[in-house]
Amino acid sequence: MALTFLDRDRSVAGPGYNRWLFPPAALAVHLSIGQVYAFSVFKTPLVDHFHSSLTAIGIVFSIAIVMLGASAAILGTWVERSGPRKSMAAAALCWSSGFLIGALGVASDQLWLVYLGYGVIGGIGLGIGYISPVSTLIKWFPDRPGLATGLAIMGFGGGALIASPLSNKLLTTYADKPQDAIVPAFLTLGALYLVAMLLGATAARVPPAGWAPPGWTAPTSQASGMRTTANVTAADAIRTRSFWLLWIVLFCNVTAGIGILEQASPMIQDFFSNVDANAAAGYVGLLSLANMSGRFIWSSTSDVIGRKATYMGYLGIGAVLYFLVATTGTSSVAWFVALTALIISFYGGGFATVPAYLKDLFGGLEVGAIHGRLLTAWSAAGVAGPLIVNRIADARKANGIKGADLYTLSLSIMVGVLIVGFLANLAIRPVPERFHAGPDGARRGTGGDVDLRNEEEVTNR
Amino acid sequence: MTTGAGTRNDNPGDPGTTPRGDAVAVPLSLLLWALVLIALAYGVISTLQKVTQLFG
Repeated sequence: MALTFLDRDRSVAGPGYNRWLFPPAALAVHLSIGQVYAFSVFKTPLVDHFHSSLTAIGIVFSIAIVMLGASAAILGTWVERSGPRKSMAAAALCWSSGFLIGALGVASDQLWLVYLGYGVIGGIGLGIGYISPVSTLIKWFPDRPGLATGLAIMGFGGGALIASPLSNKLLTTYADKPQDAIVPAFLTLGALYLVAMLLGATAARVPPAGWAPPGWTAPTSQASGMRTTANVTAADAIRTRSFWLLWIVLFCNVTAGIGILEQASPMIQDFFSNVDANAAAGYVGLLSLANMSGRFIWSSTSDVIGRKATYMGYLGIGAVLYFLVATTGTSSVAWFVALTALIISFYGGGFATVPAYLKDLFGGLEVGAIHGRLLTAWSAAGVAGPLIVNRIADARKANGIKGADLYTLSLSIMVGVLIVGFLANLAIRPVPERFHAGPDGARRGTGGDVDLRNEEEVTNR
Repeated sequence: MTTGAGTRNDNPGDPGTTPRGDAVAVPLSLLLWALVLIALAYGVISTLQKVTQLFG
């Protein structure tokens, strides 16, 4: 059967295979699905085509992000079992089908088909594609998991940098009016991403069982710090206190970052009356670069200073930066841009560092599946962050408040959100041994139901 | 660069030979590296052109 080519067993690397040949496969997938961050390019043309509201079109993006989290959580175990090649191929089919069905919806004037295509089916492709290379990267780079996952997840941030100018080019090339060019633009992007992701799937290789980089030996005795030498299954991981504390950490970090990202253009124009829409577009571009580079730089740094300390920085320094934006942000454009760019680099870094944090806490056995479950925090934050900033700004605007004062309250709330995340991170402890899986994958510990209350008895080694 | 040492490949039962799949994967991965870097360069340059509007 030709489909057996996709099986994990058929993708085991041969002798002498260079591990640096896997990251481009991961990047091909993440750069493709990262297009979702550039969906806003299609918003106005879609509004014009369907004679609809921005809210109705914005739902497409919201569905896609919710489906990302949901499918990563539900299909994470399947992705882990199937290996990167099959899951990348599945992600490619879903993501490109999303564009195809979306194009059909536009061509037939059926907005619900765009919801179903780009939103639901494309969103499932996002979820599968996002987690598909993570576990394999960690297995290829057990000595530098932060660097490896940072490299791939940087691609998700970089995907918008490529898709945004490319989509604009397609919309102006295929027709005189952008709304008439949506169908061929969707079809072009769908075909392009299908090829790129399938090439990535074909190139994907998993390391043989027990493989380790030459000169590196896995710790065999006691765990050090937050790093465990054991494995925890995905089913058990979600029963631990540390998983849910990390869920809160990711939720807080994403909520704070997405609040600025979503409102970046109007926010800088409200802060500075001399910044026009064109300059604001440049600011949005700069934040995209900060988002992308933060994923690689901070995640790589976490290999050196540790995951917990890195998140202390994201959340602690992030809270200080938010406070400075709220109190001194109007002093100059350069100061405002520097503060917010650093905040967004922490936002990106939070995404990229979390797989390595999970590997430290739960081992590498089912880290992809555990990562999938954790990404529900992203879906929740994707709703909470914009809601906080938009609702407060709208309410204050209705009360006649203008300029930077529109955001003072929401920025202060974000300081509080980050402090909550900081405290949650502080409370994360190594996972108790009773959750550790034996060689057969079954939990070693006995005693029936898990009691989260007892977890606090575990000392931080 | 670090290399791996595998025991299973696309020629099961003949672990001593170069796996057929790896013979494809190596040039394909190198091609992907090139495409990824070109695509990222395109994205970064396009974005930097917009960024100049902020301070320009």
